Amino acid sequence: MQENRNLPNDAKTDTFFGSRINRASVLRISRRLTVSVGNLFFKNPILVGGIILSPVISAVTTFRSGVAISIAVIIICIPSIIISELSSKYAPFWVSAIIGALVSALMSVPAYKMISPLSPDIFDNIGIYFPIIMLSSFSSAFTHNRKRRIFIWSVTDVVCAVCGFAFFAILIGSIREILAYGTFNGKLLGIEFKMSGVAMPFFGFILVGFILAIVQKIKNSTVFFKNLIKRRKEVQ
Amino acid sequence: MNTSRIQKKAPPHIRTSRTAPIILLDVIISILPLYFMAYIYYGLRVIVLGAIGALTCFLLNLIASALSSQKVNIYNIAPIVTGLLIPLALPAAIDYSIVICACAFSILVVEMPFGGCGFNFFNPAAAGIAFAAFCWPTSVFTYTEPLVKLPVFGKIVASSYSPAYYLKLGAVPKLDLVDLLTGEFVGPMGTSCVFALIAGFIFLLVRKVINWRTVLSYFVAVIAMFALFPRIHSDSISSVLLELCSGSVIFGGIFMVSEPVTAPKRNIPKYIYGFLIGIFTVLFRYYGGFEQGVAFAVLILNIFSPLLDLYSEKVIYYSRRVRIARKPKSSE
Amino acid sequence: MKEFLIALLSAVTLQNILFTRGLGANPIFSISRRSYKTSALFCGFMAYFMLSLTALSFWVSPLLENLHTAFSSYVLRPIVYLLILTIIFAVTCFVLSKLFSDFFSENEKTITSACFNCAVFGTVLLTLSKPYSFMQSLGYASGACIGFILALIIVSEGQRRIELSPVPKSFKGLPVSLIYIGLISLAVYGLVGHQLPA
Repeated sequence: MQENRNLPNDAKTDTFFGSRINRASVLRISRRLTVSVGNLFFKNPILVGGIILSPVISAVTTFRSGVAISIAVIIICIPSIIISELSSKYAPFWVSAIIGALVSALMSVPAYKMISPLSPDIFDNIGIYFPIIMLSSFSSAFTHNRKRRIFIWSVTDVVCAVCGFAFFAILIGSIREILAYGTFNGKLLGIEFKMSGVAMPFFGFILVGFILAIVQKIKNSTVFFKNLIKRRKEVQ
Repeated sequence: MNTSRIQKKAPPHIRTSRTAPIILLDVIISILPLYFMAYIYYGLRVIVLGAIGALTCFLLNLIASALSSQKVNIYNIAPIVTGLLIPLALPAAIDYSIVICACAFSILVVEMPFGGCGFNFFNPAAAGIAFAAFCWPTSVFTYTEPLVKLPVFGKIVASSYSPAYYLKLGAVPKLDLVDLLTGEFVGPMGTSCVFALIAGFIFLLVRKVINWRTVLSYFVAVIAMFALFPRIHSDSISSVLLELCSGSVIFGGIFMVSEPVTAPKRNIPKYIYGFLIGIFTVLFRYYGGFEQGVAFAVLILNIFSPLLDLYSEKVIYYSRRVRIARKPKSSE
Repeated sequence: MKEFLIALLSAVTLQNILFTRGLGANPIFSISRRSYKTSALFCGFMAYFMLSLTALSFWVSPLLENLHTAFSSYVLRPIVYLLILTIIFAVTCFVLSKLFSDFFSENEKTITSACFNCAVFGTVLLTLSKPYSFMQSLGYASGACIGFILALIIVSEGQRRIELSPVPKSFKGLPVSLIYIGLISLAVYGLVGHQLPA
């Protein structure tokens, strides 16, 4: 197997107290986990494919709306992708896409219930971008290029990618709220200099582009991330 | 073979005395009369605004080229031209922070990601002005009366509106012809004095810095649209003059439409480009969300300028082939 | 006819689906890299799904008229429109897989991504949230499609230019394309003015 190439030779025989878990398997699991966590930044949907960009660009203009969109994506997308991936083994691709869409429609009800306590007019701010999360083409990014489909790793990949999305959505929401309204989470910060054009979609495109560029710069420069990319290529 | 007379030199092998810094210096010289007239109307604040704009653009360009691992060239004065143009389309009473942000946007967002000065896809001055118009709509479109000297530091309360605003509402601003041509009315800092603009334009034409094709077709389109579809129903010459002089139409035509990096390179597309910018300017002025439209029209046509070049080359190629095919073959 | 054309023009320019609303960025990025044939197929199927979904949802929406709570407008109505879309998609795929199975198996992923994307669903949600008549809704949906195709042409042209420019290493790929689209959006907003889209 590909993953066993770079393991030290004695790792296969070294066992933990005579159990079935040997050092090789622990090393394999820890490497795969670092790849999954690395996917937080590198296989992140908004960072790599431009998926679920529309809510981030148009709706995420405040910290609260960033939190709301993140909660919605976590609740709607994780079950929908996992179930559509599972179903793609047994049914044609188009059927699994339909199943994913139906599951996301179902999960939008609990997502609505979780988001409404955040603020009384949160849905006026988010508008139509909440239902649009249901149909984001998330599933195509995850079902296309998988060569090996061990279920637990698909789940960790999806969870890590969605958490990474949540982090960036909240970051973008906070930056835009501070620049456009001078507040953070509704509280005035005392900044008099405000740029009202930051709340518009065009600035959303530009801000996401710049954040992506910063992440790519970090990725290209540090040694740690270069090793991470090497490990990811071995695993895939 | 006698190799002692062969000289080895690196390209370019054809050099002229006209280099990029000299061309850009000509543009800066043509902008100076506008700053002079603005100084007469509004005082020293105008000079400080221009200096801050130019300095911001220059320093940010150096930082941006260092960050993107390009050669840092301190003799590159292209960002200074952008920094001098942006404050001219803004009111003289504007805050310094707005000018700094607009200049920062034009360098960091419009020039740096696409490869630096000279590789920009969009006109940086137009994009900076458009960004300022969106972020601070009240500050960018309220002015002070001319011939009232403004203090260099401190906040200034501006409360007058330009004739373009009244035209958009449907009113007819009452302005004397001499006032209109000398720029002694409420408006952006450097776009009101027609004489200074024409002087700068003639200087640039004589020095062969700008191409007359884009500018001529732009003015033909703009004047035709103003004459055929007037907003005010009075004598057509006065309505055309009022519309032309009451905003950054002439300023945009001379300095933004003819920018060599973003304009098409072939002759026929230059006519089409200028003509379409003229039409879009008038459409944006009449139906757009703001009283000025040149900046947005220039940005939209910048998307299409390489397509215009590409298709005109194809048209020329095929027409040449047809012409060659039709030529009678000379007998052997 | 006049209302159809007015709705169409406003959907292409003032409310352009990519530049004003920000919907449909992902399909445009994935399609602009592929061949002309795939792009044409994608746009054709997207137009088909958009128009059929608008037409069918228009007939269903009077049944939901009495519900005006936030839950109904943000959850119930979209779920109903999604169900209609899945029915249209299932019927189309079933018919294509039986009658033109070679064509369908070759283009399965394109057809799926043409149906399940933000642009189609977002257009329908926008159209049906306004008090439009049937012709106006169809005009708006057609305009959204034409606006999407226009945006696709502009973005592919932009990507061709970007490939020829010395873009800095950290901006290569998605960042510079997003900044390009943002600047075009800035220009298109000159028509809209200083208002956030409803």
